[in-house]
Amino acid sequence: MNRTPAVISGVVLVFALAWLGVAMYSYMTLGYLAPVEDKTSGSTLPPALSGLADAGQRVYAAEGCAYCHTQQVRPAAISGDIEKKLGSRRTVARDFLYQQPAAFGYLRIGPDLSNYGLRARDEAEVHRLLYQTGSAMPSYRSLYILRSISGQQSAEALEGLRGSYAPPAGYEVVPTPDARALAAYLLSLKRDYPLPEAPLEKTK
Amino acid sequence: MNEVSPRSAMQDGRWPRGWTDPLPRLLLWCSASASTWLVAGTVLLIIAGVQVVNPAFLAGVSFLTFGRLVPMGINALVYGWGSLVALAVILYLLSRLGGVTIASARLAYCAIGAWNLALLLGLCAIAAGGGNGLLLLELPPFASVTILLAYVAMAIWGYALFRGRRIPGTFASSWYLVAGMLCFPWLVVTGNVLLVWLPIPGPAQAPVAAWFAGGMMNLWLAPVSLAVIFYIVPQVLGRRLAAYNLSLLGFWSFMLFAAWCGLGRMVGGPVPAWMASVGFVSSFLMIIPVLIAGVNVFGVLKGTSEWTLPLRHAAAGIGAFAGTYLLAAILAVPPVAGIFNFTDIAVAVGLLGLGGFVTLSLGGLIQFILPQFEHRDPLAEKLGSWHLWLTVIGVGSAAVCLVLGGILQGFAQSDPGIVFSHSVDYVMPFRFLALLGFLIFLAGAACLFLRVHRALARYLITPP
Ligand code: HEC
Repeated sequence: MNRTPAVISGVVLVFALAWLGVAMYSYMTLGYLAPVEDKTSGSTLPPALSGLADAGQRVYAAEGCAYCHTQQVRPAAISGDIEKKLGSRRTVARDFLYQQPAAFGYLRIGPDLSNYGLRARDEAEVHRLLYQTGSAMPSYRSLYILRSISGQQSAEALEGLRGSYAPPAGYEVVPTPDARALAAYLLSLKRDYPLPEAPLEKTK
Repeated sequence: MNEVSPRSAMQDGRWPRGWTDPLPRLLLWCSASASTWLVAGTVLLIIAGVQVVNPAFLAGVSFLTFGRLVPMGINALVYGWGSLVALAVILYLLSRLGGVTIASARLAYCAIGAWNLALLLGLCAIAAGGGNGLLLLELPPFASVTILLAYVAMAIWGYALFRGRRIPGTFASSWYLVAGMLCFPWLVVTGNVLLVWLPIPGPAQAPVAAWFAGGMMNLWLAPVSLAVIFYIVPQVLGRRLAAYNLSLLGFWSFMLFAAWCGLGRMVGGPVPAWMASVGFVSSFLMIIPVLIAGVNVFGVLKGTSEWTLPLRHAAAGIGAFAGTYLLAAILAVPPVAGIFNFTDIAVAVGLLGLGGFVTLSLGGLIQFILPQFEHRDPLAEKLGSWHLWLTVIGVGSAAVCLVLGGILQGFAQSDPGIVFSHSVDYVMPFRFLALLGFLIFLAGAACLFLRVHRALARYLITPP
């Protein structure tokens, strides 16, 4: 007796349902989300990434920053993210419109970066952060070049490095193109505008 | 369909005279490479863990930074350790449960070789900066295609074994094997096509990625691990599992909820509200198959005195199974997820699942077949039981530390009055202790590695 089909067809059915519901549904609906018009500035939201920031998100992906950093602000109804000023509204699918791959993140070993661009002072700060180790953040020294200063110090050399990270006299630390792209991407992370499905939320 | 004690399937001479059964040897070779991946993957994750505790460790070595070590380690554990053993286990168990075997394992050996090579090169690609930050989808296309082809080469035999079974009826164990066998290729193709080869737009990626990563555990490694438990227990005790209908209910409820519960990680995240709800509900309802499996297995185990090593593995495996899915169910409750979803508690769920449930169950079957290659070797038996106890202690202590640390981390990170770096300070001692747990787990993995490789060496020197 070969009652094979009962198990096989049952499993296929159960799996197909989830496959249609998650994979195909996401593709057919979320996959066709479009930017929305911004009445005040006349441009569209979310803003497109610059070419440099677009290159930067690939560095972000390859370096696996998403295993330590999320880019998901959750609604005030279930989490303290908004009260904590990680953002002024929840993150929604449309926020990832120009992200490839979508760096939604898995863990918060480091802080959420959805709105890092609003917190960061300038590019120099980002480079200092990436070059030196933090409390639990590794150093991305390999994205920088330590070289001897020929003539004048380069305008993009990192300033204010502490302790053993400071270059010896006559040397300077300059970012590679990858580091500059990554910094541009991080500085572009600003979700301070409302979207139709995600109005700005008030903190308590 | 009536349940027959699988013990009857173990008698010799089930297959035509003159055939030798190649499957135990295949399982031995698979275990040898898989246990190597188990050790390698654990080492990579431990290095990553040391970096979290002390970020200056190996600072500036680009291919050994946390963000590359973690995907390398997890891929080594899932595709190298879990999946390789699972493949051999599927063939081995379907053969035992069906009373048939395969004529030649040559194709399977080629497949395992290709799989190992592809994985090794794929991990090197991640180390070289080829990752994409999507959990379990980091391997470059050449590696995932090779793995898929190798899978097909093995699965053809699996299907033939299932179709050609000569013992009437099917066993709980074989349902799970067939389920895992069907889900793996479907998942891997879907995940890779939609997210890596022809990536869909960013907004659609989060749910698919979460569902895929969950599916690799819930729909592939978990069913095969359960199959091992449901095979070992009646096999060792010579008694069948409790009610047949209960097993049936357990199987279908498991499959139904497992198919969706990967979404439980996206509660509150950038996915449609209904997906988050389905994720929460299905994660929570996983409690049903957990209870059924627990009743089923412990009902048989109760009062037994035949505590052989494989049986202990099965009991510990079912315990870790319950722990994994109960913790995941709690973590998916929306207000809980809002505080703890991204904390070390999520790491504990993964550790309990992969390091506890999968490792203990699959390791149980490996230890079940090893004695036939060992000719009564007392050291091997010691290594075997050290593996069991070190794994249980290592996973248990690390999970407890991660959960406790995660609780502090979650509260600290949701408190507007606490700056981020202080939340890191609070969890650090717990992460340090969890790291010690990982080291104990590594010692256990090394014992299994030694036992398997000693058996392999002995088999190669003096074939039985
Ligand atoms: C091991 C986990 C880990 C990894 C991997 C990691 N980070 Fe961090 N990151 C942290 C932690 C922890 C902090 C908190 C500040 C500190 O410890 O220095 C942080 C802080 C930051 C900050 C400052 C956030 C703020 O609000 O001030 C930025 C920006 C950042 N990381 C970007 C990155 C990028 C880009 C990558 C990948 C190249 C990365 N991180 C990889 C753990 C990590």
